Amino acid sequence: MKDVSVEPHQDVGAGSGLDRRRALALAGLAGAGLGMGLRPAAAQNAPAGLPKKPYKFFFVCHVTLDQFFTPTIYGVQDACAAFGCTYQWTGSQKNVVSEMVNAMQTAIAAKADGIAVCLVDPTAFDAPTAAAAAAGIPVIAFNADVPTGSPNKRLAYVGQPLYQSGYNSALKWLQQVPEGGHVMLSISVPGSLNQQPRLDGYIQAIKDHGKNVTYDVVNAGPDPATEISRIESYYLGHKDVKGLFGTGGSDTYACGFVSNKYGLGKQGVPVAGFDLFPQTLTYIKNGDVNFTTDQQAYLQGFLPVQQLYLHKLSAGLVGPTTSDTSQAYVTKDNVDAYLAQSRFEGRTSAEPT
Amino acid sequence: MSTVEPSDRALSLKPSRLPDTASRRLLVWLSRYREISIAAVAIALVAYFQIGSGGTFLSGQFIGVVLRETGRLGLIAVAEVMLMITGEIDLSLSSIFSLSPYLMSFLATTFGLPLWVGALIGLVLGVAVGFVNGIITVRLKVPSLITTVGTLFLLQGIVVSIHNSQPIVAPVEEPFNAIFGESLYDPADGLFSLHAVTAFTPFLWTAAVIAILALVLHRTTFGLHTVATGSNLTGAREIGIRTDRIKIANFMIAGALAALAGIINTAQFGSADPQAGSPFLTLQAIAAAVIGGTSLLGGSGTVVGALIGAFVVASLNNGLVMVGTQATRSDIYLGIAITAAMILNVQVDRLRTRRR
Repeated sequence: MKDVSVEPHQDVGAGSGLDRRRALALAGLAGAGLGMGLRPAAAQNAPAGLPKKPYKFFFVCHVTLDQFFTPTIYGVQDACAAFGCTYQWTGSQKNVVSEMVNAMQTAIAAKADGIAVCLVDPTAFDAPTAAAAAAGIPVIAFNADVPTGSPNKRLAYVGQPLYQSGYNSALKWLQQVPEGGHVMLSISVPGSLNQQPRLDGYIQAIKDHGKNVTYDVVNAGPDPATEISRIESYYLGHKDVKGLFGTGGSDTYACGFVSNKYGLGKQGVPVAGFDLFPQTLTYIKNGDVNFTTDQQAYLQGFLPVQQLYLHKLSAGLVGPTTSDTSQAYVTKDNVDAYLAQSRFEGRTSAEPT
Repeated sequence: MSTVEPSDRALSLKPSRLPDTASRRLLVWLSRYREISIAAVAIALVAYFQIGSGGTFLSGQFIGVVLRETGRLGLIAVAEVMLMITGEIDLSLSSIFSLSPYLMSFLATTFGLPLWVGALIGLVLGVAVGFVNGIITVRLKVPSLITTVGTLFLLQGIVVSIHNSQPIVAPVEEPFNAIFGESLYDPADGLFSLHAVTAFTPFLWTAAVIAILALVLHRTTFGLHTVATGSNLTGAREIGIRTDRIKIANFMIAGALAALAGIINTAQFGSADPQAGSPFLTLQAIAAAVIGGTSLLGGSGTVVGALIGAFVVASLNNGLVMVGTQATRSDIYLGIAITAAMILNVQVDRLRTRRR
């Protein structure tokens, strides 16, 4: 992507609501076209392309060490390399909002050129976001967003609309739950702002679906071994369960583990969830898990840098735009591509050739 | 039994002004074996869950789940007991629990190193971390609570840096995995087959470690010196016990046990996760140790009690889920139950001391 060079006004995706991935693909094609040498005359007339600018962007994340964000960091790195920017990955290790707010204030004090932040609290980030805006620093939300109608001054959200993605995922798995069936929904940390909305989406979908499906919500716990243990306990106490559904990466893996151990997938009990733990992918390949939702962590890093860069470069003419990155489900049919060693999914740090 | 208070039994046999009633005899008995009160709690819990679940709790499969977790928590809990007896504590054990098996799996998948070699390296690493914790605590005079908070973060940082925070699908090498925790049990196997034994491997490891440590505490000079160091540091020094060495050695034992627990966990699930050991694990283990009758003040502790304490915590953890407690409430019950078990324990202990 380093040789992507498209003039701002040609980047139709930037303000028109065109699907971001298609816009990127177009940009990539344009870059590839230039690289392969179009007609010399055209090449000579082509503009020099976007300048590299040493902007510094701060990424404030709620779980800085979580493996989910490995491809996000790669996306940030690639976009920074393409536009000549630098970045700092900061925030909290364990979802501590005050640490994140401090990190934002540090970024403002350091005169950042832009801030991308996981808005994991509905109100706590309103003040620092307003402070950043007052200081002329654009703020974009990534991965987690404030609720609709919030007065928060972030310019756009890049990520998965969590509630909607839970709702959509549930509509997909509800097709395999029999009338009146009882299912288990799990959450690693009840109330956590990235999992709770998905769970709420699950529950709303069950209610809207109207097949008298009943459910229990299990507090799976903070580490994979505890999650496996508790979900297995739930299964042993409810052997008639007609589905196991996770709301995060590690509890989805735990659902897969239990499904694999007791052969639930083979008995037609649907198992599904979120994110791309390597073991979850193996379980999908083996038929123990039906599907998982890929929220394109790479794009959640690449797009904020691209948008902040364009916003800054155009002196605010190119406004950041909200981008839904969660259009992909991983199923048995496409899981092989995910299992390959790809920088875009964080399996390897090597750049694609 | 394994309660470590050398003078205790002699004291409890002294004539007392209390009349020799059945209740007094019960009290004397209780005070001799402090594990009894917590064992009673454990039995009451099992009975409650057995009734609440309509008989599922005591099924082979479910007890397998609870004992597996008891094994994991129990190993960390006894590691804490050894330190708590000397008056120290180690909060970094959860990070060693993540790091050692992660390194083992990384070395196996990247350099093709056999798992048992990686496991050995992981164990040595656990011992080394314990050594460093010990040196910083006793030689540089930093309270162990702070020292080990430091190493907790340091090691967690290292484990996520090794391989970009990615969970590693650990290779399966038999008999290594079967020995260290993988369950080969299939419902088609007989209950008394070798495969059935593997369903309980993590627990058996913990039981073996506890048997050894109970012997060490009661039958060896090292055990005696460990208790002496915690109950009266100055006195122990004056009679020539090298208390610094004793403490460092116990830090090393704790590090090794945390590494072993992590390796067993990985062998069991076939996966090494950089977040495998959350600080939550250490806190639960400390709760298990205290529930089991070990004092936070040093000088007394019981490894058998820690195992029963771990069983109580594991039963609560899984039993609550099995009886269908909703996610938002389960931590409330867990918190109440842990506090209640501790209150009981502390009160029984007070009764004992009052009688002296």
